[in-house]
Amino acid sequence: MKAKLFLLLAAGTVLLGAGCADVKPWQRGTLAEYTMRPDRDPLGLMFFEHTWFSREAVTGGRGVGGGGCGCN
Amino acid sequence: MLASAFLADWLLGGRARAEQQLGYRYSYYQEDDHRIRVETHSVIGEVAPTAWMSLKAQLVQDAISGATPTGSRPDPVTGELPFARLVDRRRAADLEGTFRLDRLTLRPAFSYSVEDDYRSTGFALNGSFDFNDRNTTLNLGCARNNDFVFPARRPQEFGKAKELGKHTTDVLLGVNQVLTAKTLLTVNFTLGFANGYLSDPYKAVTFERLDTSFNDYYEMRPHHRFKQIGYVQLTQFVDALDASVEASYRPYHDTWGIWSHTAGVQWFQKFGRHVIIAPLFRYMQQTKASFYQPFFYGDPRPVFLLDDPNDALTVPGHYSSDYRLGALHTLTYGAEATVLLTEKVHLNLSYSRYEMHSDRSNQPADAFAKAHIFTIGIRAFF
Repeated sequence: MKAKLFLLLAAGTVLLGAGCADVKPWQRGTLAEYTMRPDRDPLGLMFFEHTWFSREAVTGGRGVGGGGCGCN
Repeated sequence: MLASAFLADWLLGGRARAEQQLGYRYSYYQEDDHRIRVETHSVIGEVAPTAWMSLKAQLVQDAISGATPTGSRPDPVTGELPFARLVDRRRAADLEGTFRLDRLTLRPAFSYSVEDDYRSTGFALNGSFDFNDRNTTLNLGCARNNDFVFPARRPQEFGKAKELGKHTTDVLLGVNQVLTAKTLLTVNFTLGFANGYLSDPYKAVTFERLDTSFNDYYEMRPHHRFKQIGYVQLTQFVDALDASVEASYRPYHDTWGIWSHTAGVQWFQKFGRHVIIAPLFRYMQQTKASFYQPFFYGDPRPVFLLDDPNDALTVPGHYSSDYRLGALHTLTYGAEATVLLTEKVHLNLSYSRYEMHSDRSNQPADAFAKAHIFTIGIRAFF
């Protein structure tokens, strides 16, 4: 049930965004700023994700891929 | 992580060529009371030989040492929790290619890691398709890992096998959406399947028999696991403060009976043109796995070995006392400083505190770790 709700949310995001967002390429200066970029610190993100993965029973969500580990 | 790469690529879509980079980071994780210490050296390199292709490599070496709870019941007299010392080294390599074909981007990736007693090989393929004037991007990803465990002492599940396999498949469907010129939204949904040997060969459980004597045995987790994971992230630029804020929420459920909610927020405050201070806070809460208990009653050995056959009646099909499968919540808080030495060279320094807390009074509170985390890194773009 919750999975369906989440898929509905994702679909709603697409429809809402497709219908409302009208940001032109020349208006994206702020979006490309260092602090707005999700890849601003890939090694730091990888380290913290691995720390949480090795200590908690829950992992994933941001993306898929990457190596496994015997720590959990 | 790869979804983040999608988003970055899409934000930079107007550029003729992806950035080339070289970076290094040292991380130091030390648990209180001289428990586990992890020192990590990691390197990233990315080259973009053409406008439509880039190649990225990440190399990691973890040196792990210290004491960790075995899972056995605390000593009934002293109350002390049993710990085992471990020393291990993990080396990992991730290679990823990015191929841009008009509005379609494909990212095949390969990963490999090896430890003294564990080997992992993984493949992933992520694809993204952008439309709506690049304001919307659909992401689809699939990853497969084939891991093998070969511990020095092999639990009964191994039989005569020297190693056992653990296989995982993850599928992601996600959307990146520009809401305004200063607001980004990411919504992901991931399904994860795992099967094979999913236990930890170093974790013990204590079984107490009807005559009150007790022994430790290897844990026995289910051989299958199915996960459902949601993820929502909103990034907003705040003009008035020349800052941005990133907030995320992750609901989680799996067939081991675990429900979890994770929320995180990080504020990126600029000071002038060269310094960014970013405090962060993360909260994670999980319910216990259905087969987790601090200790068990009965005797898991075959019935013909038991003095009292009734000891077999109270043994569940699966059992673990690994505190990480218990009901718990964790906190991560700290701050990161980024110094832009030049436009192309960035220095990172961070300190974080990580705390695990038991959510049940019958769980051994001493097992739940607390740690200091320091990192320092430098990255150059060219």
